[in-house]
Amino acid sequence: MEAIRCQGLCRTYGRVEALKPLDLIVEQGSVFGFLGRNGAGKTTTIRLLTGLAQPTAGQAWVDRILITDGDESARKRFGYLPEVPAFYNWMTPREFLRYIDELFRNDLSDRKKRIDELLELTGLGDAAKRKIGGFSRGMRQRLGLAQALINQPPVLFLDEPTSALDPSGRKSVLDLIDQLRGTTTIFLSSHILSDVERVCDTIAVIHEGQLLLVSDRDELMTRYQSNVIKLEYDSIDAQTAATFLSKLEQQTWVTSIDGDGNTIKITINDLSLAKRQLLPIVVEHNIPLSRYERVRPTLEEVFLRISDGLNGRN
Amino acid sequence: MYLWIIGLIVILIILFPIGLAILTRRKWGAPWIYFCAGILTFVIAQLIHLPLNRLLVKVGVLPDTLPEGSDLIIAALILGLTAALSEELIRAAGYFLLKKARGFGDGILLGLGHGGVEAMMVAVILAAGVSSFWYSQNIDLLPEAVSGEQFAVLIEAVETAKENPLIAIVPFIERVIALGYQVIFSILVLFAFKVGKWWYVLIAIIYHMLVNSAAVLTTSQLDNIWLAELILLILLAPGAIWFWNQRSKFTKTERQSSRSLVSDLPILSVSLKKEWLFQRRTKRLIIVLAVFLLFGMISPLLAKFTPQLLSSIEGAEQFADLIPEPTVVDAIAQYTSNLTQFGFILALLLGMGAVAGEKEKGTAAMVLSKPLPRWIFITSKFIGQAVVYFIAFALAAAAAYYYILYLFEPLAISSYLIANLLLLLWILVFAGITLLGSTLGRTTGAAAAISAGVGALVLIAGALPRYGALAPGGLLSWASQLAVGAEAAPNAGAVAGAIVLIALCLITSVAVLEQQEI
Repeated sequence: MEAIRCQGLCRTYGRVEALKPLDLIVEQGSVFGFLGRNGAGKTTTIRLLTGLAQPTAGQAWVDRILITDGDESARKRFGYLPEVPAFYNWMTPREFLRYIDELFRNDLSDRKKRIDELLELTGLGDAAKRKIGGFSRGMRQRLGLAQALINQPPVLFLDEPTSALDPSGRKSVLDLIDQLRGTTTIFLSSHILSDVERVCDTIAVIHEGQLLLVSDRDELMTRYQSNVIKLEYDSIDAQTAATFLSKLEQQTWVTSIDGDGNTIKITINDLSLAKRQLLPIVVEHNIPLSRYERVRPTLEEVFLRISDGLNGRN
Repeated sequence: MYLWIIGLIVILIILFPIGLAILTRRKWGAPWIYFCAGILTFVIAQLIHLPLNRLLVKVGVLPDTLPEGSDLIIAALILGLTAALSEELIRAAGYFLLKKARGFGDGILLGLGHGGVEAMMVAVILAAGVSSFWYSQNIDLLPEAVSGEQFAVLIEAVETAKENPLIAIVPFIERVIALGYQVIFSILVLFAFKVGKWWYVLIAIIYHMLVNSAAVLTTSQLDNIWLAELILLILLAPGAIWFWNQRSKFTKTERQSSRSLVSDLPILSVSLKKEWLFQRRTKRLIIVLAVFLLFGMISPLLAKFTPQLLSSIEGAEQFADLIPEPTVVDAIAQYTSNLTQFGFILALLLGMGAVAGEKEKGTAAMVLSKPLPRWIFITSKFIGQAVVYFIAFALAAAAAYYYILYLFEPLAISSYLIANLLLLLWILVFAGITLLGSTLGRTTGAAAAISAGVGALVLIAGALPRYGALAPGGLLSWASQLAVGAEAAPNAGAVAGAIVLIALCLITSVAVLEQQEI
């Protein structure tokens, strides 16, 4: 079942096409990573999907409610964390969460419990009575996440949710996203590709307002997998190393070798032959091997290959 | 009795089109911007219509005064034609520019904006006219911009009112019928764009011309005002039947609003609570109260002791003799002048960031992505400020009353309280203008510039020779006279004008915010 649907959704500002007609379906319960460079149209898409901007053309539905005609009831169906969350500095986090909870007209009986749980979940329990004005950017980001979750939304829009967080805060947010998987549809825009790679099961790439691809994460990584084998070994003498590398270079299945101390990356052109012949060569030269790995590309490399490829075409 | 009824009728005439627009907005989800577009089409049409009529009088096509017999019919037809041409062609231009306004609700809202602002003007003129006629004073309050049929209805209503107070309801009935016509004309012109058949604009022009001509003829020829209204109602019938039958041709693709006004009210209460907390926590409440209390106290003191202060200054003793013995009038003049000057500055300083500041900081994006309707976002800010100014005026009035009682003479409490309410209304006009400026501006600086500019225009409007008394400034002169118990013609026109200005500022603010990207 679909949680988000965009149909020909586009937005232009004068002559600039911030978002070219976008057709997109995000399945319910998925963690959807929305990738793109700065100015690619990620935030514009989220603003259109949250009703903060109006499309030039097209329509969008969130949790099967049309959001693009200004129907305010759709806003009950999602939580939203902006890239730079802003708050009333004269409020305490507890007061702010109560205000947002009241706007959603959530159940009054367990309001205090709900707010306490969210404050604990986001690590703001000790700061509950402090004015938000004195909060660091990381604390604001965590409060932003708390307010986005207050209505237990079926759909959650997170715009760069980990960008202002320290490693521990990042880990907490990513763990939380993991917990929500399956019950909440998460639409996550981020430039921290390792985060996206870690938590997202579906990935979309947008470039200059145009959606380039939507793919299952593992399928995407497989599609862009490269034929590189990485070897790591303990210290060996220079002559052994030279003989070993020379032997490798003579193999027909080797395209190139990149060496860096005790690590080498071998780019190959015939994987099956390499699999049979590489390890015997290692044994033959008595190399003290500590790691043998077929290299998977990082999402960052995949993303750069996709967008660089497009820039090259342009 | 008649004055109470007419007061109620004035309020009804102002609120009725707004109420209908709210219902239209709820039912069809049409954006408020089309109501504002309707206001604009009315204003532009009048800028063409009135000079055109004057020109036709000048060149002899139209007579100075309404003639008799067949000449009257020709004059009525020409008057109807000029009104129809200017209004329907401007309306058509409006639809040409508003490419997205093709829904049934959009058309109704545009018609209500057009007819609504006309009704509001009639309400202001009616209030001004009745209050000045009734007291046989200040006949100059009647502006020139009254159309033939409106003027006739007004005169007729006032003349017969003393015998039959219920006749006061006629202007309201007349405006309800006029609103009905405006909505039908609007849908006719919209239909031309919807189906691409331009002769629907021609039909709108001919229908409009016939109705306006009939209005001129009936109001000038018939003594029975009820019969005149009945004829206009009968002429409305064919248009109303056509209008009813066209609904299905529009509504299939119409936006639907899924929230009722009642379901929004708890959110209004939440938003008001937040605004009240904002006023307290940011010390705005205490600042406004302190400033008003201070000037409430020192205004009578200044009035009383200015001559003594001057006489104590070396070299200025001779000026003290020139100042007459201070009276309660001086105390009230000081009070009015101080509170309005500082009230204006406070309204500008404290209101300019109300919306612009939230847009700049990003809090508007945060809360408007929640189920917080934009109309509540705007109105709660206005009500929050109004409550602060109400308390501030209560404090200032109490302090000033005490010192006036102690230093001068007792004031009539009821008149003094009404005078303070008039001053409060004056401040609220500027609070409304500043809120509009704050919505229009993307930054607080831009908001301040817009608010100050519009505020200055409204202040200057008070100096206009014939219309000035209807501007908010009219409230101040009436309040000053009322506070000291002087015999004065009530300026109900300025009160109605202030209410209309506030309503238009709030509606335009909501309309603009609905269209803005946050």
